[in-house]
Amino acid sequence: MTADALLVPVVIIECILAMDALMVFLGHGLWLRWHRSRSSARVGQARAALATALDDPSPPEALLRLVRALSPRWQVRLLVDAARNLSGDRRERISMLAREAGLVDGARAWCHSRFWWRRLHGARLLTVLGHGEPVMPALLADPHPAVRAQAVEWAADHPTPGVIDALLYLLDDESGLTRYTVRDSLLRMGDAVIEPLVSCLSRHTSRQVEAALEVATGLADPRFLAPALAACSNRLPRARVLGATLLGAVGGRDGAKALMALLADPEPGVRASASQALGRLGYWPAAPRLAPLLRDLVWSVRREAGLALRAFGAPGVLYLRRLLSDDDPFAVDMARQILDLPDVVWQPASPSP
Amino acid sequence: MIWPDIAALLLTRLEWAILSYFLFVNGFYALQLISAGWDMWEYTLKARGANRWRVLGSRVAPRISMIVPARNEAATIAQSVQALLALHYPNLEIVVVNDGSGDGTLDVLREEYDLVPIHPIYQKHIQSRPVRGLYWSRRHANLLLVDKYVGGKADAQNAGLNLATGELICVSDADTLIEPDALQRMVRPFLEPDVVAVGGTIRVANGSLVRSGRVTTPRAPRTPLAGFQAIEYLRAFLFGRLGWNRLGGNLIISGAFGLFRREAFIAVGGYAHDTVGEDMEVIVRLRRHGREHNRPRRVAFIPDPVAWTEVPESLAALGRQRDRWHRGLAQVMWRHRRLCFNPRYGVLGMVVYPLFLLVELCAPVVEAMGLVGLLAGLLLGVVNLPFAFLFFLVAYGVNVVLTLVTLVLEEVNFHRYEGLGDRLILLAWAVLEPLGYRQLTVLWRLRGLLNFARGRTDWGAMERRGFTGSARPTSRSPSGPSRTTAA
Repeated sequence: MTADALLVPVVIIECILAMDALMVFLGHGLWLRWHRSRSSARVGQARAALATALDDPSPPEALLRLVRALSPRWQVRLLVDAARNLSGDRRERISMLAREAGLVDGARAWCHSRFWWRRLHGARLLTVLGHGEPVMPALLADPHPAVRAQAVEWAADHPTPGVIDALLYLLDDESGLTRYTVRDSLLRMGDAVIEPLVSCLSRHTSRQVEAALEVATGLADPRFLAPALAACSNRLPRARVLGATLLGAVGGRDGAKALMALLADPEPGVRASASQALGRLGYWPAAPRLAPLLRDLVWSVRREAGLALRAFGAPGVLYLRRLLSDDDPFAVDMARQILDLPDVVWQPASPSP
Repeated sequence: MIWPDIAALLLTRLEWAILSYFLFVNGFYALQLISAGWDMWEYTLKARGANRWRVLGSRVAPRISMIVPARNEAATIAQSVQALLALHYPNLEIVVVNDGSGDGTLDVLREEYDLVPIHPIYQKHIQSRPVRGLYWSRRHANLLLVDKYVGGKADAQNAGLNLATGELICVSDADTLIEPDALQRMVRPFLEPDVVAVGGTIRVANGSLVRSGRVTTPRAPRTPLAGFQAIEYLRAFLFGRLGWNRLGGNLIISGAFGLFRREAFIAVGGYAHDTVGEDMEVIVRLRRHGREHNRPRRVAFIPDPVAWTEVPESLAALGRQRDRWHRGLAQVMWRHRRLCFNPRYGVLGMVVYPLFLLVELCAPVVEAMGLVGLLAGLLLGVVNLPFAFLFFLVAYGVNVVLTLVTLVLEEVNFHRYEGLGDRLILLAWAVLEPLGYRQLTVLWRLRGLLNFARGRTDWGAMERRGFTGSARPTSRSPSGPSRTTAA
């Protein structure tokens, strides 16, 4: 076979592929346009009827007929768009409508699919449209991280003890997306998670504690004092850093004493965090313990100690002025910078935990 | 054996070598296309119906510091900053770095945003030219201005990095048009701790309708040069970089818009000053450093369109840009030559680096040799005309098929170009692009290699028309989406 004879079929195959791609490229656009124009009138009608029916307590038979006349894709879009922007009774009505239209049953069936993308789609629909029980709690243990994260998102609106326990268990999930969503959902749950979180913090000593401490700092409730004090004596430096931050958020005399003890911690991150927390609490009796930290070898510790002294007001400023004549040039430099700060102070946020 | 016979023999061997190269490169492109299609499919399934707005109300959204270097941008800086402040992200800090502008950029910003001098205590992690002053906006608490002596784009970004407080750093140009929800989409890969950098698709804004710093109606460029580049950009991002995603070979995040983990960025010392390919160089360094110190090192790419940029519309400006891109690529490859076939660096050393060397860096040389060899072969009668014609058709066909499949990926997944007219125009540019334009880019890239060999390190000037249509010259880099994977 010659090279020419080889190239001819290649050219033919290329032509076929190019024609296929061309047809898909143009055809898809045309189909989309036709589909939209065909559905737009009916969708508009259904949307208008939906807006009216939301305040009408009578059974929405006419609306249901309009919704059922739409393709499943448009049904989903119509109800999901509306549900995302509503709450209370109106959302309940959307939820009921979705159930009557058969969307909820469909979504529940998808949640049992062996394909993760169907389970994900089902979970997303149930999150928005409601009626997730009893399917969604089971998805908190789904093998696919995206499905798990979606179930966690649903859980934020369903703070039952079982769900909260499951979320606390997922705090050290292997997937970053799930861990992030768990923290977000626990913070959204608010007061309901405080007691379970306190109990979780007293039970565990691993990475789960670090994540739990981050959530506790966001909730900043005095009931976290005991776990925060315990975290300050944790062998993991990261846990001690987070414990100090939590103490800075919940306050209390015992907390301030524990923070002062952490100023002598061998880890610079812990010392910096404790200094920052004391500054946040404005606990001026700590000034004599903070002043020597301006001689610390680590810049971030010196900075946080200096800023904490400044936050104490007159007692702290007194110590800063004394440090201007210190033997340590680094302490002098930091004290000078802190004292030179004008009234308008831009404080960079501490990096997220 | 006489000289014509030797020349004929050499040409025959050369043609075979080039044919082998052609088969290898296109085989690799086919693999990349399959990888891109797979990734796109999975990404679309994950993104379908996702509630992106949830992150807006989240208290645990990572803080992002957006660093915007600006030099002589007085005409557009206020509008650009306004567009950035309106981005839909809950925990965002904007750090504008005035890189020694002489046109009143600083005054415009001071007046527009009620800036007051501040004296923060910060640590200079990375060296940069001296900072003259720091300002904070009384109107927008998340806006910070760094005024420094001129030092170039990389230096300005490094200066901004010292002041930035976010866990993530976003680099952007003052004139890149960013989609309002781009950060919400870009931040998702960072939820995994092994990711150090994320890039997204940058598109060509020429011809599109732009209002208040936003592309409101995307349209296909009407001028050939911008149109060819629009096709190139689509191909480079949707099939080139997305294809590399699954293969673990992404080495470029565009300087026009990219997101980095601050800790990792500081650990490698920020942008290098002495290269014109600093955006690629820093990615190679991040990956290399991660490998050497067993630290996070994954570079991810998301196919969502996240930003729009203006591309050059004159041959001279485009030529300078491509020259610089290829020079930058050569500099990076040379600087990190120890990676080549070094098993210590795993996939990066054994696969990615050699492929970039062969497929990206050497491509213009091989293509030029192929063209010259083909002409010489025809003259000497070594290559027969029907074969040459068929080979040309095959090469052209491969190019067009790859571009059309990329357009299909765009159409099916994003459908950004709504009008039939726009799609037809894109098709026209896709069909015409390999005929002449591609050969021109070969020449420019060859010139880039030559200039690299000569040791040239300047950026060259570029003229931008501006989104409002008025021409304005600028001396800074175009900082477009960097190199493109040419099919």
